Amino acid sequence: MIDRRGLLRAFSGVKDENLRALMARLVQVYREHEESAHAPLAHYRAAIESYADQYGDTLDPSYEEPLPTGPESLANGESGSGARRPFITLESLTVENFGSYCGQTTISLAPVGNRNVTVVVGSNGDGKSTLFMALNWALFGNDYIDELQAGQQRELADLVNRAAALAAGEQNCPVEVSVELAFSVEGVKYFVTRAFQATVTPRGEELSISVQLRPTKLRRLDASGNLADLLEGALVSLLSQLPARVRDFYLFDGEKINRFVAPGAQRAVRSAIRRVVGIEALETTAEHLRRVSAHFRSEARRLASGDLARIQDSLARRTDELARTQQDIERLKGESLGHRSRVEEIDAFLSSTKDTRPLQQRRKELEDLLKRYEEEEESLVFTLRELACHASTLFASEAVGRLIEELDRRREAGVIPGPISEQLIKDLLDLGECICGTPVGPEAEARRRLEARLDMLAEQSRQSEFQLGLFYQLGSSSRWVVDKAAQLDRGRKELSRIREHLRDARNMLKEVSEQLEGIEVVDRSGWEAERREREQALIRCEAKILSANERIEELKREIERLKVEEQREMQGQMEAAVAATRANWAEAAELNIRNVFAAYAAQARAEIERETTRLWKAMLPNVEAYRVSVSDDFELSAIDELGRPAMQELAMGQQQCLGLAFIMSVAQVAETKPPLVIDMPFGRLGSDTASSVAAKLPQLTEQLILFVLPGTEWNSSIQEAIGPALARQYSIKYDYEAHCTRVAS
Amino acid sequence: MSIQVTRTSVHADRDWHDFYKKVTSESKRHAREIPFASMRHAFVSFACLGYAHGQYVEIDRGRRQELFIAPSFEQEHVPILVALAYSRLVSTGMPHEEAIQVVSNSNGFVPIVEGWAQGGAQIFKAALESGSPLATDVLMELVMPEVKRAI
Repeated sequence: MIDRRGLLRAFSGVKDENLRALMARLVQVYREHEESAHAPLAHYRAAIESYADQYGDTLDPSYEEPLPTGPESLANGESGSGARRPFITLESLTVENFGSYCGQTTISLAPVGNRNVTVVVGSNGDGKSTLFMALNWALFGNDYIDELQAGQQRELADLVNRAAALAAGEQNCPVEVSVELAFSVEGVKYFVTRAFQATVTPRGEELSISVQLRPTKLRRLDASGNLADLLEGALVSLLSQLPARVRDFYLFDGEKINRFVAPGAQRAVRSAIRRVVGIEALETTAEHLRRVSAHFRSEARRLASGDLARIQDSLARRTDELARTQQDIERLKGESLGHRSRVEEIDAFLSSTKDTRPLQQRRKELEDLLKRYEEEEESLVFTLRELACHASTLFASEAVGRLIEELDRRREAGVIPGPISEQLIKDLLDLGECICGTPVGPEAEARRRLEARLDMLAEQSRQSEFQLGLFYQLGSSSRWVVDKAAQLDRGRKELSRIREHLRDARNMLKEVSEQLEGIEVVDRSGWEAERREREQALIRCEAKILSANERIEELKREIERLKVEEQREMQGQMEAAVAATRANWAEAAELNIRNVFAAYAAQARAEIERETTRLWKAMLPNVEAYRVSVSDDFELSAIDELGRPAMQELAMGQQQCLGLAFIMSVAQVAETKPPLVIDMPFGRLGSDTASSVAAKLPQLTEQLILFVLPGTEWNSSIQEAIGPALARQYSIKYDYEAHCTRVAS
Repeated sequence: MSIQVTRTSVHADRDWHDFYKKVTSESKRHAREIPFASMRHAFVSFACLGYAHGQYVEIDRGRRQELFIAPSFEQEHVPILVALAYSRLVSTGMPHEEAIQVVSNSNGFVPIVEGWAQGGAQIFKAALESGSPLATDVLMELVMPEVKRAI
């Protein structure tokens, strides 16, 4: 509730007539609605904005006024109440050698009578977005070019028409590129021209283009039909007639419509509502009042002495701390909102993407398993290869068997190992006497015969020994080979088992890989870690806000106590008392202004919520079961009949309509109805919905400019719906041979 | 008295030398695709295979290329190779004693076994061309029926 006395007292001694008038108007509004619980806060806002627009940034708080003249006198003051934003109308757009447009092309945009819609129909690549860019550049100059560069990595040089660039390259002369927007504000016509000169140098098949920006021209058409040059700065002032940062809210390139309904959109929603409320103006005013109170507080301290000076010091310190703490809270609230938005974005992202970690883990396990089996297989095959070589000698079994058989037969027949007489003869020769007593000494005839016999037997013996040895070696080798064969057999069974595992593992790996195929693999851990950090930061912010609020309450109590002491001590120190009183009143006024804002913000939010619901349901009959909610945290959401959040259940088209309804309701609550320019407004809507939306759109704003696709966005039912409001229609087509967009009206 | 193995060269037809190289590698990594760890292993297997299929291909002395030398044969393989050589000799009508005399040393049995090995190499090459790309599997597939019979 507004503290009328506080407001009156605060400004009773202020010299600035506008400020006095403002406060008088606020009091008047208050009085008019004293009986009701809710004053029409739009009136407060209008009064405050009117004041802040004119003086907010420039007022010098060094007031030197005599004593207060009495509060009631202010109540009769008049203000600029009921200030209405003047309308801006976009009249025409002329582009020269810009983007796909070669030479000079002009399209008219102005409404014709009650018909307020201009439609530009063209396929992708025909030049719709080029006109959208031209509008943005004309209105917002280098800020937009910087944005274009950051967002789409496009330079000014990329905006030179190709045909013009080629011709310039051949003729060795520069190309003039320009965009001129004609618009009117409250019936006065203005022209803003942005231009640059491009120098083209052919480099093989490529063109090298350097640009030189021309100064921006702003001209006004006066009553006598003459054009007067204005400074560029005046454009900012003219555009300020539009809601702040108009392009954020009233020039939409398709996707922007959806950002209000996207997860984590609280910041955008809050920003939109704050602008409707006129938060900048309110904050400027409140800040001004803070400076005023600080000035008087300082004066009071300078003039005071004794205990009063001490009290003033304490008061000054505490009021400073109070202001700082309040600023901290605002900052922390902003941070909290940022963290909350981000957490929502992360949640939406995580729920929209499949958690591939279990699959990835499974794939890793299978890959490891596969690798292990492959190593086992490799190792086993290495062993089996050698065993197979040994076992292959089984092919010679028949030959080996036959030889063994032959040798065995000979062995059994006593042919091998041969006669034992060889050793007997050796023994006899050693003895020198035969067993029959015949001497076989060195000279004996018998010895010669025995020695000849021994030579013959030696040869037979070597062969016999070889065959016997061979017999045993063949037997031994055969057993060795059979042993190796048995090992090979066992190894082969093991190999089959391993290969079966390998097949299974490969099949499973293939299945898992197929499941992972086509799924975007994201590092969820990183997102989850960020979510944890954000949540912790949010908790910290909220704890700080709680603590700061407690401190504020404490400071307020201390300030109240000090003010009571101050009142007691002020007796006899009149000058200091006056300054202190002014400071107190200014503080009270600041507090009240902030209360006005808070109440208005709440009301605006409720109005936007109500209006968004109404417009959304008017556009779409199939969303009757839902209602729209704008929460305290500025979250725009759809709620079902059971009170549950239902945004995720909505179809894309329903969501887009909700975004559109929100934009419209913001414009309506702001009482602005600025020109609305939308690139591809019906892209996501079904044909019935598109027709329904198309029929409603023209009624929601003073001027509507649509860039649409032929067919899907500009079919007979949409044309029929927009028809009564259609002022102009252009068809554009890009001529690929001429590198130029042709425009037909 | 054991079989005398001296530094006798073991040969193959020079046109088949590359085939021996192709089917031989000590590497464990290539054990699946390359069926023999050494040329002597390949030679022994081919000789037995040639014998089993009765495919004896005499090598023209002018076209021979050395693969390795006889002392590299594994001890257990030597009597088997001797048996192969003996079998070849007696099949040509040579008496036992004479045949035994010939195969009692590597200079005698190696040149005879080379003929069996040459025949076996051709059989194995044909098997590779019509079988699995995993050459060691081809060798095992050839051997396994014999293994089953033997154990």
